[in-house]
Amino acid sequence: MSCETIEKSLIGYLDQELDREEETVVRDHLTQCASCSQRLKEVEQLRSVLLQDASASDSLFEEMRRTLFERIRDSRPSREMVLPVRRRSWAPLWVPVTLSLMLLIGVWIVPGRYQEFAMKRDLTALAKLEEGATSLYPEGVESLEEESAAVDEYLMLAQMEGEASSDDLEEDLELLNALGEGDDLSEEELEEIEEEIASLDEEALS
Amino acid sequence: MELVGVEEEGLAVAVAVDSTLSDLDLVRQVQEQDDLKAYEVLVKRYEKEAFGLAYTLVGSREDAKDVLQECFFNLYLSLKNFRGESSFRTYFFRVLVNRCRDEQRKKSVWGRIILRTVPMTEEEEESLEGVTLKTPSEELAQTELGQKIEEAMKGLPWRQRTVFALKMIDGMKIREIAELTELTPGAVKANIFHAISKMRSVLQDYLELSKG
Repeated sequence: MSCETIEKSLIGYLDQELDREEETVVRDHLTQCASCSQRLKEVEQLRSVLLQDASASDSLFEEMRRTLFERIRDSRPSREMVLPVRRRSWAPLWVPVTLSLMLLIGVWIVPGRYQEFAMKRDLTALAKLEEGATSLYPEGVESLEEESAAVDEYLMLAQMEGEASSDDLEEDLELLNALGEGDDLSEEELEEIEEEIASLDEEALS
Repeated sequence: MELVGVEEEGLAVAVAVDSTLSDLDLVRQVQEQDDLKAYEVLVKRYEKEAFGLAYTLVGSREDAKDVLQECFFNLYLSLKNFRGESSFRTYFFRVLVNRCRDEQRKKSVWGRIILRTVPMTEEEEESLEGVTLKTPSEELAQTELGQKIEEAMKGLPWRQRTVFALKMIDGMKIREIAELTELTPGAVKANIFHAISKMRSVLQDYLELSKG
């Protein structure tokens, strides 16, 4: 085996990682070749010099570890964050939440739904009436009659209110015209106007 | 069994850690229990040879220490991804070699930029006179021999430098280096042989001296 081949195996020979056959060949060669034996010594010396140069004091490692584990601890979520956050008791909220829901259901949802249902039912009944099939849905007819009576009542009230309003308006207009024309008004009339204005203001404010 | 002092919540607590546990067992303890004591055992187990490799590759003690710390820190963060397909030792040294390479590239790029564009002024040079940031051991490393080794190492191509350092400093087996560097065992042997030849020729005088 040539010296160059042996030289390539010297480091493996030093680290005892050659197979038995190769190790025997290298050992035999070294006993006969002074040059390769010298090379082996040089490799050993080179390693020794390099290891000496690359060594470091314990204090360097201690410092490195201290900084390293500080960084690691800082990077971890804190204990408070890891532990589950203590839940707030929801008990005090049950009462107001339940009451609010009940109020919502009672005031808005149920009447709204019922109104929608009643309207659909009345429309169905109306359609049936138009078809002359009252006997099929007597409740609908009854409901429509009630509805009609309620509307009549509402219209009557609205008319009465309208009449009263128009009377008041006419009276006010007369007074205003009188003011605009610079007519002399009695103290009573003036007080009446002031009161009227005050009451209008109050209404507006309310 | 080794007693490892761990300071937690301001209290120094001595906790028993079995330092004879295998790398994989320690890794599992870190992965499953976030056990810093187990990680400390791993760090202590590899820090010396890792420092030797980092120093040989980056050429400065301060940089090697920083690289090592950064490497151990990133390794802790990414340890959950380690599935044990290769040995922890191979995995760790692969990460370290890559980190050293990044550092070397960064340094060389910035070094070139600084040298070409920002020459040091006389005032800056004067202000640095007498300033030393080195410990006695670092002073020792700045001896002529240390500088010569650093120069010689920088003269090697990166691949040669890596396999040479893994073999000469860390004493890794050829097979292990091949796995780590993804080279064939033959290529690893060839690279080591060439690196040894170059280093020997550069350091001939020192080797002769030590021989004498």
